[in-house]
Amino acid sequence: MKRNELGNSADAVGKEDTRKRRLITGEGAVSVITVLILVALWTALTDSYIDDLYFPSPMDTIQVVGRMEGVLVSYFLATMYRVVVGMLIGAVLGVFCGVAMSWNKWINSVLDPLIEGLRPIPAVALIPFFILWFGIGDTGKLILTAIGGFTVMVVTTLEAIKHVSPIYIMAARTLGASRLEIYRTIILPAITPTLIGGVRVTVALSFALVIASEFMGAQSGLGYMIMLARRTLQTDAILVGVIIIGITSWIVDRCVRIVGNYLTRWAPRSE
Amino acid sequence: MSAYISIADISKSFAGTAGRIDALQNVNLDVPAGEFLCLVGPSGCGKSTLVFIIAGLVKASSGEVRVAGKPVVEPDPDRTMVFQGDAVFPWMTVAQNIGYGLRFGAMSKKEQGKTVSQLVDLVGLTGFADAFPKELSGGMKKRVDLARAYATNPTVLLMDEPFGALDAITKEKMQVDLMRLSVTDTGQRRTIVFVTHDLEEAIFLADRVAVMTPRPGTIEVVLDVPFPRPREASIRLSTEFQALRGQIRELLVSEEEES
Ligand SMILES: Nc1ncnc2c1ncn2[C@@H]1O[C@H](COP(=O)(O)OP(=O)(O)OP(=O)(O)O)[C@@H](O)[C@H]1O
Ligand SMILES: [Mg+2]
Repeated sequence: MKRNELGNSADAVGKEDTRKRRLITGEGAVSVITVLILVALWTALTDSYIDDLYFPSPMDTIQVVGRMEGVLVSYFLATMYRVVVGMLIGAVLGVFCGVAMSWNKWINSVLDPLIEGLRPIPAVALIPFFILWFGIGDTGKLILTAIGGFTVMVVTTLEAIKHVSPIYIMAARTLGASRLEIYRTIILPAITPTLIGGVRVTVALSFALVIASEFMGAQSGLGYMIMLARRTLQTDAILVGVIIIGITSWIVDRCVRIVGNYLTRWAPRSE
Repeated sequence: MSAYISIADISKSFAGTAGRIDALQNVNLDVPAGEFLCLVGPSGCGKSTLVFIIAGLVKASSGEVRVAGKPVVEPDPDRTMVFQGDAVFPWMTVAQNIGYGLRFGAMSKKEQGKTVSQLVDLVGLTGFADAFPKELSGGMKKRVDLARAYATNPTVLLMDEPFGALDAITKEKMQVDLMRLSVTDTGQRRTIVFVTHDLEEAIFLADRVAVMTPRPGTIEVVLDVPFPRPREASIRLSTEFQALRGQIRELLVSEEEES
């Protein structure tokens, strides 16, 4: 076969995107302006109309960070530990059980009623029980977060496996792949894009569950800090807590997206 | 003439959403070793279904397929397939796709790599070994698919409208390549069942053309294609070629009118 119709093949493998990467694009500049306007509005409003008691000014907020630095770091770490470890346990178990359920119908029959029973219950509703059983330490919070992530990931995994195009599985079978090989080399990569979506939902849910359980009973953590601050009407500390949670949740999501984009770099995307 | 693939009384019905569909009814066909057989027939007559049954991917409702004397119960890398749709694994590079069937064999990693890079060149994808399928055109993906099916050096190749979506010129090139690749490493001719709706393609490639009836599909006639090999692209213009094409076309048209 002649190669000329393929053009300069080595070059053709690259990206189609040849736009220069600048530090700040037009779109980026617009977003920065939005943020600046919001901060200006915030300053103006808290200077005049809004009482500190209800919403702190930017200066108060920054000052409180300086004042609480040490305890802030330790609370932040406590919360992050619960979120990350709980989420990982839940997600890994969820994917594992989802795959096992599609692998074997008996495993499916055993686990399906358990999952169907668990799924409709909002995990937050279980917090009182968990405090009763495990106290206000880490254990209960980890289990709770794990359960939340587990349910999301098990359902996502099962649904994703169901929708793997049969043509890939047939092709693998004609080429001699065993069932185990098909799971490893076809099903797992094929469901990865969907799983990444599930993990992003799990991240958001895990933050919500950890904060909620810290509200209800804890001795550390950002949720605990917000709860204390509410009792003493320290709105600036509440806001600092909220902002830190927002930023970290965004960063964790961002990391998941970066790892996810790498793992699914083969997937055609509509940009 | 010993039958390498023997299809005996194959019937297949599906429980579709709109009730039972009889896709195939009493299909009988023998394909001798080394034959290139083309299967033509109206859309929906069960060509893909028949090929899936030969591959061992679909179970027949009744009847039996034997390959080399053994009943087909499951797929085998000695009997590979090129699908009608796009079956190239999007998460694997071109080289990984082509080498997929070799992973499960006895070949060493080094040999696998050598075979794969030979195949990459053979199907004209030099320089694309590490590209993902999303970076390839439709025709290039089909070539990956072909190379993957050749890689295990099968004695039987099942091809379901492999060139259906290609333009005329690319198609001709791929047909010429296919003729070249239709021998195994040991110089033996592969036994090929090739589904197509392009009659010129069928006659150009085949030793025999099997014409199927509309659903429920069965073999209506099997015609010999007498042209010697190697065949030049220009034989398409000969009167014998066109006469045969006309004959098959008449068969398909009269089927259409009957149904
Ligand atoms: N999995 C399935 N479930 C239900 N019906 C099916 C299934 N697969 C095929 N059929 C039906 O069987 C008949 C034959 O299908 P098949 O795909 O074999 O046709 P074909 O000859 O390959 O058609 P085409 O030339 O359009 O590819 C069709 O009527 C189709 O609707
Ligand atoms: Mg078909």
